[in-house]
Amino acid sequence: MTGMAVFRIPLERLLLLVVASLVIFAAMNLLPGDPAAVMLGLDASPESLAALHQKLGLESSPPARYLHWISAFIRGDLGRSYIYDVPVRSLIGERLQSSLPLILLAMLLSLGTGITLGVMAAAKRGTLLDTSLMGFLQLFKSIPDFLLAMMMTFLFSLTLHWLPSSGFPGWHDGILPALRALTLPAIALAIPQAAITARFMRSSLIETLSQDFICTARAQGYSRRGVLWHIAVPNALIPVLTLTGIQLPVLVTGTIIVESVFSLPGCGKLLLEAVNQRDIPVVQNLVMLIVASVIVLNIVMTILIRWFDPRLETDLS
Amino acid sequence: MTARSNRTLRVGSILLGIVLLPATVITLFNGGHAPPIDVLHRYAPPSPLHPLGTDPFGRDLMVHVLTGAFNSVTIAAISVCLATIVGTALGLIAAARPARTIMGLADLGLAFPPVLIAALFVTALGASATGETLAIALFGLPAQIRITRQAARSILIQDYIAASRLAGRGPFYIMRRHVLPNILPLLTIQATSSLALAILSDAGLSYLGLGAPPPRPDLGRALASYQIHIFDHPLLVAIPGITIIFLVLGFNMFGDGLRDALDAAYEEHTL
Amino acid sequence: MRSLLHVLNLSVQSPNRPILHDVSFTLESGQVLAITGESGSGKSTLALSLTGLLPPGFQTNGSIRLEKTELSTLSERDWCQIRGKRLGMVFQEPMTALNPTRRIGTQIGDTFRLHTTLSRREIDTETRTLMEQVGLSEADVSKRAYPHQLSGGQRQRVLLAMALACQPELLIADEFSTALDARTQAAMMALVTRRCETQGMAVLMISHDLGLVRRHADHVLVMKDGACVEQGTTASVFNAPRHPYTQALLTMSLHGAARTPLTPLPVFTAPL
Repeated sequence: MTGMAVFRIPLERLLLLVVASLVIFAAMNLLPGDPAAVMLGLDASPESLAALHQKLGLESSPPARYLHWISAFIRGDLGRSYIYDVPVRSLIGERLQSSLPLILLAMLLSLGTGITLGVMAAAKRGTLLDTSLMGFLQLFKSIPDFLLAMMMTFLFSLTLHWLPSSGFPGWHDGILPALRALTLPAIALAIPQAAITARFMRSSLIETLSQDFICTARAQGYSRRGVLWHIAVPNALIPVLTLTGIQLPVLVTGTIIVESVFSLPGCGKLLLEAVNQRDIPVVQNLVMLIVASVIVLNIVMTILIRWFDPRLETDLS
Repeated sequence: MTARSNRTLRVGSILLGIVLLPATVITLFNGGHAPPIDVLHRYAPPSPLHPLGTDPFGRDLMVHVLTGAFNSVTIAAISVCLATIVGTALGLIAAARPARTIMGLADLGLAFPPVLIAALFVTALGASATGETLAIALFGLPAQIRITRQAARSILIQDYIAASRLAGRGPFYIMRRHVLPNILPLLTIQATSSLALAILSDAGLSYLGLGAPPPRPDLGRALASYQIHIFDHPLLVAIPGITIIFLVLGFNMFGDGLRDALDAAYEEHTL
Repeated sequence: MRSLLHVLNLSVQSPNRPILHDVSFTLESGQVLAITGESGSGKSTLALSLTGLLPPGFQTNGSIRLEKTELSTLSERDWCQIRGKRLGMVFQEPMTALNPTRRIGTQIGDTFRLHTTLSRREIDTETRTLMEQVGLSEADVSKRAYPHQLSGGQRQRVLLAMALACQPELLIADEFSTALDARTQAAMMALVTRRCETQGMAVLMISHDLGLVRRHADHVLVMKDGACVEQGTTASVFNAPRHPYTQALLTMSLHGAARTPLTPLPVFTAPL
């Protein structure tokens, strides 16, 4: 058994990337309706339609167009925005400046608070703290994220004036203003995720604490605290990691919504603008990029889980 | 346990009833259309004529929100029905034979949240209630396939299935007579919980403008257009907001209560 | 020979019902005491109460003394100084008693880390030596292996190594070799007995396997429904059992049921 075994990726996962690209291409190019007509609107002249056809390469057959698109995508060429007439890649790069930190911050927050709350509830199982915490989290699961974001804006920026309610100053004015602008959005994005993580962590930890090896560790001389943090929590984290992988698409949705509520110039906002303006190159490449990131992150998560859980390593071979 | 589940079930039903009963009555009267615009009475405070006041267009807030709630639940219900029917069929097939294609499809769903599906649909075909319904249904499909497959498998390994097979029963008969009736309670609970999720999805999509287009009232879109008034007319945000929370919490609790009740019934049955 | 463990009038009460009543015995250094009886007689509860690991809600009365330390009133902090150091314990389920996500070397090393100030390198060497001692040779089992890569017997050896690491004065073994084949069982018991002879370790062996008990124990304590019905030297209990329950146990084991769990015996109501 070598340590490299954990890096073996199930072939299906990579195949998934191909299928996803086919789905996106089909949705953009094969659904009834001419993409050029969609982009130009109803009252477009035949000449401008023909010109756009040429520009988009719509003359060639769909398979040829697909191959052309996907090979360019793999090389990092994401096409040209029809509306802004700039490379999609630079558009996305610009928008990632707020989206990427937002997602990272939200993930850190949700995992941090979710795991901590879950451990607290499991350690104090059956107490008032546990039941009230779980009830509270159930409520948070039922509030749409945009509503939560609106409530937070109302409370923390409009009423208490602690943090800005919208917009993003960029990173050139220093880190602090940018972080201040991202704080509320990140919290709004993190809360529903944290609620799900906490509930899951709690049940996973309770399950782990009932295992025989906990007793063995206690008989070895581990204190109650020591066994909780050194033995039980690492074991209980494995299913939580799996959950985090599954929740990634939900995080994508949340990011788009939160960017919309807080008017952050991120990728989610870019996608909505592109959809409204029928900017097909942007929509097609951005959706592909998001889907590819989710699938790749899922693969990374699988590797991480295998690294944490040695039992899975043997399942591979 | 049963007492507790009954309480969860009851609270869930009450939350749903508060919204759904008046919503259905009002929709029966106005046919799901938005209340008339009345520019003379914009932002009217609550009065006997308009129990919750009027919105920035002078429309009755209560009627608008309740009609929107009905529309949201309709879209959610249709998409859950679609996902349940197709997902159950595919899940049963996947349980009966090794079906890598179907499970691959289910994996694909893990990467496509409804916003992205809706974004593709809206770009290609324009915003429509059909597109939104399909987007939500497609997102719910993978979970439905997985759950059905797992549940059906646990039935298929039972001895009486083998006996039935030996008696010469075909796979279709076995699925219809043995598997489906046994997993039906589970599917019902799953559908209830999916409804809560579908309502959340619908609200999110229409908030972003990717849902069913105007003029049909919709909770998410109402919130999007009212949100700038959160300070001066908080009722405009509070009412649709609370309506969504009632619906989601209601379906969630209804599902949980149903699960507990069924578990209890099952235990009683086996004892 | 000095007496090591004194248990006096030990009673344990679960939230619902009493489990142990008035159990008393003493155990001397270097001796093996076997506790036997049918399943549900309170053997495992006794083992857990001696290590202070009873589930929350259980109530203990009476006295448990390990040399001069009174264990029944010990604080949690002091217990952690005793468990693993002066008192080793091996549990009955080798398949689930090891942490699946940690290497076996680390798990054995944990006992050293918790109770000694040895350096990393010293712990490594000690772990290796200990593994050799319990019959896990370098060639067969790497200390970087995970529990799922080992056989049941090997896991049991790991558990024994964890318990023996700090040379405890008392080893509590709960059905610890029942799941093993006869050869491994003999080898493990030989290992334990050697420790008794060389280091004066005492063993409290919980087993329903009367053959095993007869071969290795110096004293026997027979339990039924949470109470001690008979105790004495192995020879006296086996040769001249006084209680009808013990007699029945022995008769059944003679009929070849020694290696399978005992089914509940007929109830004896009349005291002797």
